[in-house]
Amino acid sequence: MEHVILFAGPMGAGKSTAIATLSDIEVVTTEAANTERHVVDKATTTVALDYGEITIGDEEKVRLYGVPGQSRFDFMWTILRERARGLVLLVNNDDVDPIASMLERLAPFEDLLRRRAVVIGVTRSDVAPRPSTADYAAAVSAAHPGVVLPILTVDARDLTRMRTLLLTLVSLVEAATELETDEVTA
Amino acid sequence: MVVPAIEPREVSDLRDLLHIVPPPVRPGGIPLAGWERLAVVLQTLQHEEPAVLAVEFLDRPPLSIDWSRGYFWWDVPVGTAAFAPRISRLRMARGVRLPHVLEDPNDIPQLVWLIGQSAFDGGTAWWATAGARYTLDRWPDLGSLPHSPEQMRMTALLGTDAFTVADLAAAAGVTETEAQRLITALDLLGLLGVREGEPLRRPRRASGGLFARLRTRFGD
Repeated sequence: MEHVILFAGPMGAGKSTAIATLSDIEVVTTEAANTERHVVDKATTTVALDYGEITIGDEEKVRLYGVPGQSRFDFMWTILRERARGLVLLVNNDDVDPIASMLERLAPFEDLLRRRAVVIGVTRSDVAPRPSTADYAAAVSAAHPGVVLPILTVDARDLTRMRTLLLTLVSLVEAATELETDEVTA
Repeated sequence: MVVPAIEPREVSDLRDLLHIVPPPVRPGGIPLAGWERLAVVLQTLQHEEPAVLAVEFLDRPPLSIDWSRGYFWWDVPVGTAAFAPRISRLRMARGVRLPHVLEDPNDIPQLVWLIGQSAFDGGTAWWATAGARYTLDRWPDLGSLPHSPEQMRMTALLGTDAFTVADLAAAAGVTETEAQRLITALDLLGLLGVREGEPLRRPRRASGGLFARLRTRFGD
């Protein structure tokens, strides 16, 4: 059995680090020279995929895919989102406009949003304490009425925090699934 | 109407603005002295009304709260363990903020999360209606609040439909006291809504799902 979890977010939000933190195996990373150093000062950035996995028992794996941070590679999302059980969207709080960035990155995942299969991790809130998680929640509610997403402050290097983020996503997906599959008929 | 907060020039100027808040009284005339006393006051401060509170205890150092800035100062570490301090005096200045943020502030949700779980001994909060159905209006930041896997799972259930305390406990496989403690904490943080009518859906009790297997895998 396998479960696909996607990690998305703008460049520099910590997708590659988050997967490396969670993964049991050495992460397979495809990187290339960053041609957008004016956006984020990183020498390399993910242009194809990061891949890691968590093994549970003998026959079950959680496959962790980091999808491209640069908008010109957005087509990669389409390939994987059909198989995805959930989405971890990472946003760096010291971005120029992190809330706009979050909403832009959520837009292609409308189906996962409807299934309540999205969790948002806010990184670098130690550097930039605002916006708050409440500000993010208000923006999500305004853009997607009725959608209440978990929004957690995280450090992509911190195993405990990243496990909390992943477990939050799984708990939400399972809670929604349990309700959908056992509706009470009037 | 939003009233602009007064910011005294010095912290010491607050003394004239602070007024004693008398303790609520239980049936039988016994005044509240534990976390309940502060919880009742904080519940009235929802919607971010500015206020500064000075809390004195019989058995702990004093606690200061700048509500609208979302900070508190207390020489007691707020850990995961619930304890029952005895409040001797509670003073509050409404419509007021501290003139500046003092050193080493702590985020108020950490304190409110503790108070909500500890107050009322796991019973229904004084302001709550027994049998009410709750749903989550906003998630708590579980990245910064100590929590159990059961609390995470209950929070997820509240994020998908409305539950009474009894239904939530049954769905999550915990005691009603545990469910009530979480409800009071989320309510005090201003994260819950109350829904009318009957629930449309009823969850099956989860057993052996990916959440449980990951918890085991992670050694929780």
